[in-house]
Amino acid sequence: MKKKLYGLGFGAFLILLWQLLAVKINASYILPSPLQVWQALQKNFGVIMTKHFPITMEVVLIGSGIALVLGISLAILMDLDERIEKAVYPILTVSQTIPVLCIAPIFVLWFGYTTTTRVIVVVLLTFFSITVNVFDGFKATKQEMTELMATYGATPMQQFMKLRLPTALPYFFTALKISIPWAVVGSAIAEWLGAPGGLGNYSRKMMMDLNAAGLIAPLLVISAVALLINMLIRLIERLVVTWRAEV
Amino acid sequence: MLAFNHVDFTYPGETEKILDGLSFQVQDGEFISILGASGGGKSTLFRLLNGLETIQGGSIEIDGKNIQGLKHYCSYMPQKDLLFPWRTVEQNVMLPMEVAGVDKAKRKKDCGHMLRRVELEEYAKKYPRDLSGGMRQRVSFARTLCAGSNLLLLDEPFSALDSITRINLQEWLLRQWVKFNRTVLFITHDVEEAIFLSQKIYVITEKPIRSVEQIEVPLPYPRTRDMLLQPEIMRLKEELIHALRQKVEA
Ligand SMILES: Nc1ncnc2c1ncn2[C@@H]1O[C@H](COP(=O)(O)OP(=O)(O)O)[C@@H](O)[C@H]1O
Ligand SMILES: [Mg+2]
Repeated sequence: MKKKLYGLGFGAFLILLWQLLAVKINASYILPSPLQVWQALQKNFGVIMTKHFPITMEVVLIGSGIALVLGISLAILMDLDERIEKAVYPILTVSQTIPVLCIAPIFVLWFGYTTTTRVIVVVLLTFFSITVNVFDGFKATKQEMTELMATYGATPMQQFMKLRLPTALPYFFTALKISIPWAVVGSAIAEWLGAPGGLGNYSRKMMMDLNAAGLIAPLLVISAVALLINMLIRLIERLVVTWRAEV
Repeated sequence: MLAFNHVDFTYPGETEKILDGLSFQVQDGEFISILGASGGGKSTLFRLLNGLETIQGGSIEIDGKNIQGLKHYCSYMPQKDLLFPWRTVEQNVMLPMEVAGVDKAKRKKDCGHMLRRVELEEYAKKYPRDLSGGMRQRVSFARTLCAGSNLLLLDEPFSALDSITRINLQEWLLRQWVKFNRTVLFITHDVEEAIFLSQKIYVITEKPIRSVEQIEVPLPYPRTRDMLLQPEIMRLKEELIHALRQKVEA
């Protein structure tokens, strides 16, 4: 609790500093004050939440859903067969050096300014860390425990369900905590490519209007959502992974 | 009855032999300690017995049958407790039965029974992290018993514990042995532990292991710690220490 107080205190201090600086510069198109941002958020809250928020979140949900299924499946396959690991892992790593947002326009060529394009961007941004984390989780299985299971006569399926999967669970939550907030950000940024709406799209439109306060307002919503999701994951993690401190 | 017949073993890819024509026998119901210095190949004996490694020559038989055709003929307890942290005490104890496909009602019943016998029933719903090192070893022992076979392989189960807990558990183990009437093979590098616990000590003094020296411990059960102070036992202890030392110096 005390730690949180320090964080909150420092946060409040930064906002105060921002407010003072903004008042001094006195040009809201360059640096809007926190108060002006707040007012912009209040004024546009209706349209932000009813029109733009759902567009962004749809892509977040579909994108992370696909990334999870894809990432976990790939991790399981790599864990199952070393040849698959050897074939896939290096390509995965190399693929991470390609900046997704720079090749994103090619998806626009293929799929137009559609949900599909943005979902692909979100999937590419997130599935790697899911794959790698879950895979590392499987690999963290203790050899001695595997051998103990073997002395009980465990089948490969039992080894997987009763040992490897529970071992990987904390790693899976790490993956979620990293990738889901990142999916929210990714979804908003993907809207810059062109979209019928969405928080990122809306923010960019405000930039065209030189409305800096309006530009920042939807970003607050994005941060809040990312934070909220992260907290929710932590909560579930605490309920499910009760043993983490141990390992 | 367990028998090693002229067993040869080298770890795959290694050149150093671990066992070279080793033969010995263990009768049903015996408590036998295998005593030897670290790195001498004691754990390897267990790895061969429980099928984690395969011998290259000779045979290992139980009641005259080669272990290669057998299942669930021994229950192995590792040195570290290796309790699964995501399982409760009870779920840990039931693990071997779960793997063996025992149905849920019987699992529950046997586990309750076992936890009562090892004096841990009030910890059934606790997690390993809530237990002391000594209690964790007892849970691990209960889990080993639940693997169901009559031959228990205990690999230095108490060596990581503090000395008081260790002495308590040694006495506890002897009480359990009397109750459960199973054959125990107990690995240790501690001379006193071997003397206090076992009927016979198989001493490993050479590498590769060609034979084990079999020494009877002339003490009745139930045992108490003051028996260790008898002159005859003190002499035995010195002899054993001497035998193990020679090996180290060689
Ligand atoms: N998996 C393995 N592969 C290769 N060598 C091993 C392996 N396990 C143990 N050894 C070697 O076998 C010898 C005996 O080891 P071990 O049976 O563990 O001895 P102890 O249990 O008596 O301390 C040691 O020299 C050790 O280095
Ligand atoms: Mg050992």
